Amino acid sequence: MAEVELRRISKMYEQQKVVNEVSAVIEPGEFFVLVGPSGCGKSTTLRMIAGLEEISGGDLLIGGKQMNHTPPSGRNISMVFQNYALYPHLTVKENILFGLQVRKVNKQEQIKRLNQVAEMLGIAHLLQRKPRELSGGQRQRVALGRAIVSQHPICLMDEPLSNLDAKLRGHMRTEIRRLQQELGITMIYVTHDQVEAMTMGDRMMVLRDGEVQQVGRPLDVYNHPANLFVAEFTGAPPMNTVQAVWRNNGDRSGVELTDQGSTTFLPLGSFAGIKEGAHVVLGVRPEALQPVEEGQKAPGSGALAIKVQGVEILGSETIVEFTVSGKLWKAKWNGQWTCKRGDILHVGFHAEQARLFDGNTGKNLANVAVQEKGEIRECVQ
Amino acid sequence: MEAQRAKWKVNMYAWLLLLPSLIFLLLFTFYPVLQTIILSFHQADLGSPEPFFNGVDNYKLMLEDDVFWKVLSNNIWFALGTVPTSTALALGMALFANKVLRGKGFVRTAYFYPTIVPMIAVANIWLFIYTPEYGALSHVMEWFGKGDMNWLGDQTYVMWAMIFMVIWKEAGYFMIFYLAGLQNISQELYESAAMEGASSWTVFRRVTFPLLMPTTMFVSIIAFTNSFKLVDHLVIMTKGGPDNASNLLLYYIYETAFSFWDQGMASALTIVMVVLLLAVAAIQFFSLDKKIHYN
Ligand SMILES: Nc1ncnc2c1ncn2[C@@H]1O[C@H](COP(=O)(O)OP(=O)(O)OP(=O)(O)O)[C@@H](O)[C@H]1O
Ligand SMILES: [Mg+2]
Repeated sequence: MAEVELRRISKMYEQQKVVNEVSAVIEPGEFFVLVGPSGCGKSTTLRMIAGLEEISGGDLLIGGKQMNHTPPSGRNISMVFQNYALYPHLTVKENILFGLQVRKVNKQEQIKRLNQVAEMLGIAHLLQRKPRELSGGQRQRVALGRAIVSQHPICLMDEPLSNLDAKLRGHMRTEIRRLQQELGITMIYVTHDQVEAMTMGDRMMVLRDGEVQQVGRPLDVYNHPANLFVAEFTGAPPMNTVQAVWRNNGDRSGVELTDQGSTTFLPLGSFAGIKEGAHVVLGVRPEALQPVEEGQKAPGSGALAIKVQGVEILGSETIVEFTVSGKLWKAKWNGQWTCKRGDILHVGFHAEQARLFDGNTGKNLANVAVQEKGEIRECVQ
Repeated sequence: MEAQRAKWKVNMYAWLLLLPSLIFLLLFTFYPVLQTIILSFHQADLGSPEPFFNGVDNYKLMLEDDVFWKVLSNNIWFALGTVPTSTALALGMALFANKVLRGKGFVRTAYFYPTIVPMIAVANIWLFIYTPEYGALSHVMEWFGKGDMNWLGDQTYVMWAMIFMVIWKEAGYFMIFYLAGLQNISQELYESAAMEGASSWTVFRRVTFPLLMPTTMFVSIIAFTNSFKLVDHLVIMTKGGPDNASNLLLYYIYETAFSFWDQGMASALTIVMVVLLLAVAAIQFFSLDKKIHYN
């Protein structure tokens, strides 16, 4: 079966470790996304799975078999490259058939598969063209076709959409997802774009400096980020964070924000296991921050009086910028809000929407507590 | 009206910028070419104090001249001997120099070094190599009991000796073009082929070679024109001998002009050579161009 398992896989370049003991089990038919900022080792990890890069440490298993030293063609994998890697001197048809010809698949079978793929991707009318006579989106389709036609159960993609414009990218996202589900392929997909990771993946793995930060379903990762890094990496705009001090006071426990001498207390209810006076980081998603009418009761945890620093009206939603304890925060509200720079507003959030991170390690304190009870399995670390 | 004036001004400006190089081009290229064409229809040798028009007599004489036919066929054999081999060798060397992991710089330098040595020096080195009895080659041939072979003095061997030397001299130069061509081929293409499990031969035949076709065409045209242009070694090594066995067209032109002092005939020979080169280059270009993929 097409299960891919990484067991503490590492990659060293000279003395530098660029991928550090990455482990994951990718189920057959799963859409698995590797995501992280530039240079975090996503491509390196993918290329180790493909066999284009040697594995310095750990084991790679595909379908239960150790594959560390199997050449790429023996791994039952197809790959879509970032720049598509279409042969510029061959026609679309020859490009798609290249692999089948190399593997000496019989002629009738070749034509049958070619027609199937061309139909599926809507490129039947392009078969006689050279790659340079195609648009970016069409090239992308041909590259997909070449991967699909091989009928390998596993497909790897390295930032396949990064050369497309925003609209086409959105379109291809759904198309790739649709194809993957129709064909039941195991997909390992690399991107630095968290939107792609959130919208396409069954599960995602967040990497940073070659280390796994979190593996889980996109919504779990979004709602329960394992640490500050994941919190600030996911969401657009990302999670707002600010340094704070924890005050223990039974049900009225909460965080104290300090801003130029003045302090604000925000009650969050009880959080198990946080010591009085501990340094924590408070994180709130922009959409969790809602405007509070003057005099109305705040939703749960008090209100912050803020001074608007900037407003972006995007049509369906409005992003309001302000500072909290010296950190720039953003709130995302539905509809079109006509506030302007300098306005004083009140914003609040539900206590359960707040996330607390350890001031030193950046780890999610709630996750630590919950994990001890064994409720959230998906969140690693 | 206004637009036309503006256009005229732009045109004028362009011509002014081109003027300096145009003057040189006219003076040193077009004028001599014209003069050569004119002179080829004149008798201008030591026997005629003033050149006088003699129609196509020079061309007629040329066709009856056995030496002309000899040097022309020599030159064609020389081209056939050097062009394909040096091109193929250059490609092979480039593929190797691109692949070696250690000592890349050394390999490239070793291959390229014959190119930077001037042809005159090369000719002197090889003159020594080919010397009977004392030469380096003779020492090697001695093991086979053939140390007394006179490579440059024998009509059957002299052309081979020349061809071999020129291939050695030129392959390194052409390798540079192939190396540049190889750099232009995206690594992703090779990785993609590796994912399919294509053998190195398949990759070469279906990816590398077709993508290097523009380089191959360029190199083969240069190699071909070189086989007509490169005669420095004849001056040092054989003077075209023995009995014109190693003589080439350009050297024969030089002899006609400056040893026999027949300017008219030399001009006529020059015209024939230029037309020949242009024709072959054009054939190569137009027949191959359709089949070549350019990025
Ligand atoms: N051949 C190499 N030699 C040395 N270091 C390398 C080599 N290739 C990659 N690296 C380093 O490994 C790290 C991870 O690179 P990788 O290409 O996997 O990043 P990435 O996550 O794919 O980034 P991006 O989103 O920019 O593509 C980087 O810090 C890079 O500098
Ligand atoms: Mg990358």
